[in-house]
Amino acid sequence: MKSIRIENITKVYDLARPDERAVDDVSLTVAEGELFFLLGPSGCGKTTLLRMIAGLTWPTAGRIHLGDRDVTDVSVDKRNTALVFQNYALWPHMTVAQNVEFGPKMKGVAAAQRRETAGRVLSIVQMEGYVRRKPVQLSGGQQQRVALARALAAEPDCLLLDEPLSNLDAKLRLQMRSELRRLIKSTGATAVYVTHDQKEAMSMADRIAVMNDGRIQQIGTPRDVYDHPGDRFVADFLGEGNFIEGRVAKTGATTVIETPAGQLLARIDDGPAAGATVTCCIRPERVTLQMGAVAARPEAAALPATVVGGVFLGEMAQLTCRLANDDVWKVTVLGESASAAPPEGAAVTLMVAGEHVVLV
Amino acid sequence: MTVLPKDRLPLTTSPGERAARRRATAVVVVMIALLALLLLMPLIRAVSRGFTHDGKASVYWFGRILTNQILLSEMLNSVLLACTTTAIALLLAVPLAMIRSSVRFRGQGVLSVLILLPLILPPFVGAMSMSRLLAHYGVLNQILARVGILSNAAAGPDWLGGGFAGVAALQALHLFPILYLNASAALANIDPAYAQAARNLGAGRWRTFRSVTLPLMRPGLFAGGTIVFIWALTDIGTPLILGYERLTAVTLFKELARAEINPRTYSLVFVMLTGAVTLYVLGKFVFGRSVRLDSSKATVAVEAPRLGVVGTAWAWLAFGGVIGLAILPHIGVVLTAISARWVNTILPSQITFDHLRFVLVRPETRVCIMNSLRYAGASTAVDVVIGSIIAWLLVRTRARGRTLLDSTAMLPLAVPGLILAAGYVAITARGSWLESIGPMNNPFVILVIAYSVRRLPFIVRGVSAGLEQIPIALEEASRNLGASRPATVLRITLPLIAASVLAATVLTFSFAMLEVSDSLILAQTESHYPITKEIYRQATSGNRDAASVAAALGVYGMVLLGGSMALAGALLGRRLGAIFRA
Amino acid sequence: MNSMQRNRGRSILVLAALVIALATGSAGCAGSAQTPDDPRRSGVDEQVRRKWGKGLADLPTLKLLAISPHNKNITDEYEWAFSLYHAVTFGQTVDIEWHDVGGGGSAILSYLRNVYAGGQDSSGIDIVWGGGEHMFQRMAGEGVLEPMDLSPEVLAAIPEMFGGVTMRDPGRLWCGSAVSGFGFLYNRPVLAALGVAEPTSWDDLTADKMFGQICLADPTQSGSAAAAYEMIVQSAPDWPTGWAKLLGVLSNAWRFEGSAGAAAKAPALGTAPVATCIDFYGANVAAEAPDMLVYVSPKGQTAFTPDPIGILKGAPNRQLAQRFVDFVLSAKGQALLALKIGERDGPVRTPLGRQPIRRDVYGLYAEGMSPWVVNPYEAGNEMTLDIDVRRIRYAVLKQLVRAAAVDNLADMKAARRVLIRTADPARLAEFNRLPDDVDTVADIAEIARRLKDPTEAERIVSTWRRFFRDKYRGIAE
Repeated sequence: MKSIRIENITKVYDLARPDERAVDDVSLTVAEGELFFLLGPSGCGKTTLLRMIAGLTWPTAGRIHLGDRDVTDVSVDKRNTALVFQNYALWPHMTVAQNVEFGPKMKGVAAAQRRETAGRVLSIVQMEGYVRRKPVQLSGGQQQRVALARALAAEPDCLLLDEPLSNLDAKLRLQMRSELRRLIKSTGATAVYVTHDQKEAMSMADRIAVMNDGRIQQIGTPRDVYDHPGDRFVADFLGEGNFIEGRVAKTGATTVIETPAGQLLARIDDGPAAGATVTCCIRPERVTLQMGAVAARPEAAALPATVVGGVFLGEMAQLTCRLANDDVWKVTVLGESASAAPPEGAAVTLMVAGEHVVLV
Repeated sequence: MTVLPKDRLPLTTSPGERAARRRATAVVVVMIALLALLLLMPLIRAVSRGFTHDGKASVYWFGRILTNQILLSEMLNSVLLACTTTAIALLLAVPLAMIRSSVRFRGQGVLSVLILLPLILPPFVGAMSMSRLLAHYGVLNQILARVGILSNAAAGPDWLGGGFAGVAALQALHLFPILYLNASAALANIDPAYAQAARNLGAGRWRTFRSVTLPLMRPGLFAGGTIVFIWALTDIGTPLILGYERLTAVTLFKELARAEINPRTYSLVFVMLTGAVTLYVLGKFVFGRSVRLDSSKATVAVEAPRLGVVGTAWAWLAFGGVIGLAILPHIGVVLTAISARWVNTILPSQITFDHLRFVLVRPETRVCIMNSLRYAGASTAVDVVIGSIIAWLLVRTRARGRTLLDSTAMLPLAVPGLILAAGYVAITARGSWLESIGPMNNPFVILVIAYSVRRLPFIVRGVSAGLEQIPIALEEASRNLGASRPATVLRITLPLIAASVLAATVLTFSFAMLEVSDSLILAQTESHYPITKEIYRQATSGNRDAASVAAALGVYGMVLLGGSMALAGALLGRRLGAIFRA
Repeated sequence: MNSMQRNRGRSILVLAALVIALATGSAGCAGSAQTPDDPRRSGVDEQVRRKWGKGLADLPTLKLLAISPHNKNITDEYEWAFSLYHAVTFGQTVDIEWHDVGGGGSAILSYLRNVYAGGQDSSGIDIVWGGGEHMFQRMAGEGVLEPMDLSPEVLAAIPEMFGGVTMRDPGRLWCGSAVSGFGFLYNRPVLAALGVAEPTSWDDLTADKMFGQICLADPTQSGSAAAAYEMIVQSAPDWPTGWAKLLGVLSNAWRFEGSAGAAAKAPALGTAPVATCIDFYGANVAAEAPDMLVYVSPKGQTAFTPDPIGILKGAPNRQLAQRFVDFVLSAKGQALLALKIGERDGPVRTPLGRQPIRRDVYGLYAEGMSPWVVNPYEAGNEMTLDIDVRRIRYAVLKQLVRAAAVDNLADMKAARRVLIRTADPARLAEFNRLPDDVDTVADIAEIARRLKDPTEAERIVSTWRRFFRDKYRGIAE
């Protein structure tokens, strides 16, 4: 297992147009054994970055280190990474066993040992009964697991996963998340995992790098980037957020922010100076909904609003509420209250606790 | 970690990428050099006279062509003919390939082999038998008279005067199996999920075919279409049988066969080559854009429905009708071989097996068949290796000079056989450094070179089409797991494109067995004759039974080729058709 | 069987095929012409033993290289007979390596041109045999041939000119070895069905009823066709009349084939009921159905053309080549062409059925000749061509026929169809009108000179072609 160090990596596909950068000056370090996520919308450069780590795409500038080795100019077959492709790229003309044994075979591992390795990883992914099958004869989830087994069998220095769950149906995807994390963690591999699904990243990652437009916006643990998004893009991309601009009226243990919809309280350690204009971000599930008019409390602000719409989703309800300044916020109501959510047109108060207000 | 200011980042192609591209470019250069030596050099030797005038280098003759209305109208005619032929061949081949890939029925294996028969019409005797069939006082009109449609055989039309339409129809019937092979190979590589998705989204069968299946087949169809197009553009056999001579290729052939060849003719060769290459590049630009596939081969297993009695009958009617029409000349060859007398009758009026027996026991027959197998086998082997490398360079690398390589590799399709053969004679003449491989000694090497060069486009196109249809991720996965490039090609790429390679190999081998121009000129002594030259020698011997003896040789040639195709099918996938489902 | 195994099986199979193909590649297959049970051998063996002290099989063997379009029957018979003759006379047997470059005279000529192109002084070949007298004149002109020794006996037996045709080169660069006549072949039942009288002369071929029924050969590709067209012209009193007569035949063409041999197949295949062809070819084709197919040598209108032999420049086996020429032109060698199987000096396996060029042979071997071999010197059906006119006009006529008919077939036929329908004398006169630059014999000499230059030739022929096209289209309108 090796760490991954990326310095100033830039990818320009057409040198004649140096401003169109697929990846723009990215630097980051992935620790040994870490499960590291590259998260971002499609086209943000995360797959290009992953392919550069694998050696399938050549960077235009910058260096890539695996452990102590500078692999920037090393060809793909000599890097000892293993990539799980988005469409799995299982070889249709080979059986499951042949697919999985391919990596060890290329390393010159003897047949008996290859078989043993393949058996071991296939049992890790619970596919040991399918060795004689062809990929066509497997379901999507089974193919995904074989692809993972194939990568693991190569015993790579680092494991690279390119949206491995995106082709699975929703239920299977949910189920596979924890399973996949457990699997990767059990092998102790350093892993880089590319996805556009923030829930996948949140639930599986040790750390996440949020990317946009070829650049890294923020790196941190899931909790970090969710609770303290560095900017509006990150906040917006990681789950939903209600945004409102305001002016800092008072600083201290609790920062008071005057907004067009009313006063907000925020508990921030290094808040901006009084008078500064800020954007507040409040997650829908952090808003508590109260019927009728309710007064603000010391630790929570109260914003009057009207319910304008709602969707009942069983375990929760998602409401949209119009504030005093005509901004529309999303509010999530969980548990029993979901069934008792106020009807359209009801006057309500949105309670926002100070610790849930993030300035972005 | 130092973070460089953005404007100071050195934006260069990385050394690894440069090295990879340099390596690929080096191979491209080697390939171009090889083609330059074996194709361009003899070609230039042969056509150089078209570019000298009054002892100086000149484009005089070129100008004479561009101001000659007759020659220009012939060029236009040729292009129109090639378009028409390709269109008809597509209309014949694609529906059959679709039937082949989407349903199963009894006798499919037999039909899959039979459908290749139109391609393997032996030279000279095949043309003769087609003439007899379509002649003014020929078999077809006699049949029409017999069934009462004509008052007497002499009152029928001269089908051999069929002109443009006749040439296009006969060419299409002869060449459609090329497209069928490519279409079948292409269909085998298309994930049925795509079509299912379209049907699922409410598209009708026709709509699905037009907007999903057809675009996905495009690389395969383009590969076959190019070959059929250029073939039709430069074909002389069919137009000569039908006496339709307002075509550039026919004019060229007639000029080249004359004792005094005007320099303008050589310049015309150049014009035709340039035209063919331009049309090819243009076609590639318009139709040949590669389709990027995320997944291919089957991700879902589909069991093709098995047809009932009625369905099977319809399928047989479709295949049988087309094949039956296309192999009438073959039947004529067989009948000629067993005829002792065949004048003014529908079938031979006297039958004998003497010709077949005579040819079979002659040692010369064994020698020429062995020679053909050796020339065709060796040249096919060379083509598979060289052609696959070229195809791989074209599709999978970003090396410089690819367009040049691509066009050069397609050139042999358009080069008149007589020209290239003359070029080989010139470069191996006594005193030349290539004398030792010349036809005066053992012509094996020069014939294998000639055959290989002429059939190279089949492999290049076939393999390219195959490569374009497999997702690059399958190869990347292999590289990523530590396989070198060669290992990846051997273990992943080749098995995946086996259907395309095999289809191209079958074509290459068959056409090498049927090669005429180089064989006539370069195989000069009897012990080196391939079967085509032996057929020619017999057909023109002036002996009483010349036609029948030549036809008997042709029959053995057909049996040999048909047999080897069937054998290939049996060995390589039980039935030939099965390899297209790899 | 799982797929990996099958794939491996396939790979091994393909590899094995490649290896076999390459391995057997360079190993040549021996297949030299074997002497059949030759009744001459035992006698010759005895002679050889007496003269050279060892048997035929123990004699050293020489090798001679020849290029020839002749068929295997001819080459085999001559190889066997010459080898025995040489064994008795010189004490060595001879193997002849026959080269064939796929075609007649023009194919051989362009092959030799390519071989000698880089200023080579030798082609590696000794003998060139067969291909038409015009082709040999051209080869002689291009310096490809070497003068031969011809004995007084040979010179006496072969006229330099016969019927206006050169039978041997005055400079002895080549000499005819056989002669062939030129006539036409027709399909009797088809002509009857069409209501056309069976033709006996070239004039019969100009009849309106013959329209579209004759398969002709392109004179720029077939020397014998060119000679025949010249005969048709010569059978008329003057050049314009002769041209009109020729055009009458040409415009009845169904099609022009590339060689006289290809044209000869037409009546049997049913593509056209009448075709022009060489005598022995016609006789052979007609033999398939003698009641239906008829070959005609038009009386008094057949010229005989020679089938020449020559020694190539830089012949590696110069002396042996001369001996072969001597043998072919000897009475014995000549008789081989015409005798039946089993005759003394006759062929061993196949009768060749060709006419010897030596006058004396017809007397010497009168008994044993195949029935269809006729003595051209006695047949009385040859015509005498005006040598000078012919020599000058030869090249011109070929190109003129090509421009007027071969390259303008469709327009010419359309015009002729109108002529037949309207019988309009004005149109006919226009149809027969020649281009200004060839309408007199004097003009022809000038054009013949200019045609030698390729630039001029291309311009002249292109102009003619346009001239005729426009004329035909004018008539058809």
